[in-house]
Amino acid sequence: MLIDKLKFLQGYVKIKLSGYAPERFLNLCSNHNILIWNLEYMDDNYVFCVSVRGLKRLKPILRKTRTTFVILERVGLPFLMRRYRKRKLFFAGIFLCGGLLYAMSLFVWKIEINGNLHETDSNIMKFLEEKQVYHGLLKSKINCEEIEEELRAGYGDIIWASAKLEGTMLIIDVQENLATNQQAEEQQAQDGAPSDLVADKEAVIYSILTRQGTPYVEKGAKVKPGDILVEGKNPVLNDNGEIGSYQYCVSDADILGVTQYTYEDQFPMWYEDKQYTGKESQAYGIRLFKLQAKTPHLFRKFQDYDTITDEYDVKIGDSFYLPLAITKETSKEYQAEKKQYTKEEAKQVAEEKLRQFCEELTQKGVQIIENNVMIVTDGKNCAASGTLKVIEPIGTRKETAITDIPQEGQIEDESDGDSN
Amino acid sequence: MGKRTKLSQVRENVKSNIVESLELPVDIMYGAVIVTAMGRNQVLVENYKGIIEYTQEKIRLQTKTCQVTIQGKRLVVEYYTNEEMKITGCIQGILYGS
Repeated sequence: MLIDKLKFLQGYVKIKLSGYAPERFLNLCSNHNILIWNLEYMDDNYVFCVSVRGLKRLKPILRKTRTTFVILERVGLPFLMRRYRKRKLFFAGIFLCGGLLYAMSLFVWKIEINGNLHETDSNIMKFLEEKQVYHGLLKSKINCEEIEEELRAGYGDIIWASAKLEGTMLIIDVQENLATNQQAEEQQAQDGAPSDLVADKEAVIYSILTRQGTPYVEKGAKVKPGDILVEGKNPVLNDNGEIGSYQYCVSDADILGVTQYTYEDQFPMWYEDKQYTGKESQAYGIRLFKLQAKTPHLFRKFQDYDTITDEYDVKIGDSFYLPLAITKETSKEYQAEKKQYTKEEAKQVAEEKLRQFCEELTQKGVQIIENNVMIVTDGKNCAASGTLKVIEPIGTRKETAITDIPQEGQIEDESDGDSN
Repeated sequence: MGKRTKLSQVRENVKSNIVESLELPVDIMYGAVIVTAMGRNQVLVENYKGIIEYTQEKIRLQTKTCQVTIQGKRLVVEYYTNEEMKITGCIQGILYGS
């Protein structure tokens, strides 16, 4: 393969040899180190290929062996160049194309972001744009380390970022901190600032297991939002059996409460059903930078249709993206039909929705114990309403109010306390 | 003249004795021809001296010690250099002659 390409670059000719002693000619050629290939015998003549350089050295051998040759074919770049030597624009085009490709390769045409789970691609793109990193930026102006630093500084939950240029593509890999809340909690625990657990909604305590702090509620107690469930201070009794001081701590407890969720859903019995007719119309277009041009739909006579647009980036190789994209617009015709749910169908749909709602709750770690949702259908609407009784973990963290003045001579966070 | 042939014969004997006893490669010591046939369609001939005859059915090569004839159909010399020659085509026989 490679040798073929080299031969093409150097140029070679296919010639027909005839005369007095062609065999001697062939032997002399090999003695003079003139390479001959694809030697064939055809009707008393020898046909073979020889390079242009070899051809020039054939003259003395031809005379010696009294043979002559006819050139049958000229193959290779030197002959092509000769043939097209007058076509100046053609060469100009080749150079222009090469130059353009080179110029295009100096810019970034695609930014790829990997590893982001919480932040969307477009959010990060916008952020990068603010930091002067955008599509079509000169590659030499990109400082990967700076981008990494800005990303880490700009987003709290990005704990690791890496930017690299590959071809005309800027690849940004990020690692997000998935356990942000957990870590923050741990951090708080480490800080040692005393905290309470406070009810965040109306509930009946189902179970309470306290690890640290003073529990304020018992099983079966009704709590309202804002009620303290576990306080982050332990009373220290003095010799008289009175509360002498308090020991502050970060309260920690597993509290399950029975709470109620109201569920309300309504949808009309009439709905529109799309029946695709299978007829499609396609239009193509191109996008250069931000300019768009597309062909009109020539044969589209649809009344109702969905439009799907696909965009294909033009790239050379794997990662050399050009600022050019081909767009394909497909219009699919459909016929709208007004349909009415039957009572059964409506019930099914409503139940399905309710099931989804329950599933979402269950995924959050909530246990459903009672389901009082009624589904009612009339001629126009189908309504589902009712309450769901569930068991879920309750309690949010709140700083403990330190109401007391520290006593003299006490080293720890202990102070006089009021009786509670 | 007679003395010379005798001397060269002696020399040949000595040389062949050495080559045989030391198991030296024959192609280097005598310039013997190496014919490598790969499948039915390819023959590689090394250590040849020149082409004597070449038609589509027959290629006769001169080597240092003997002549080698390759018979076949539609024989084509893919390439040849000073040392080796590659022949393709439908090979029917390889003959050695003096």
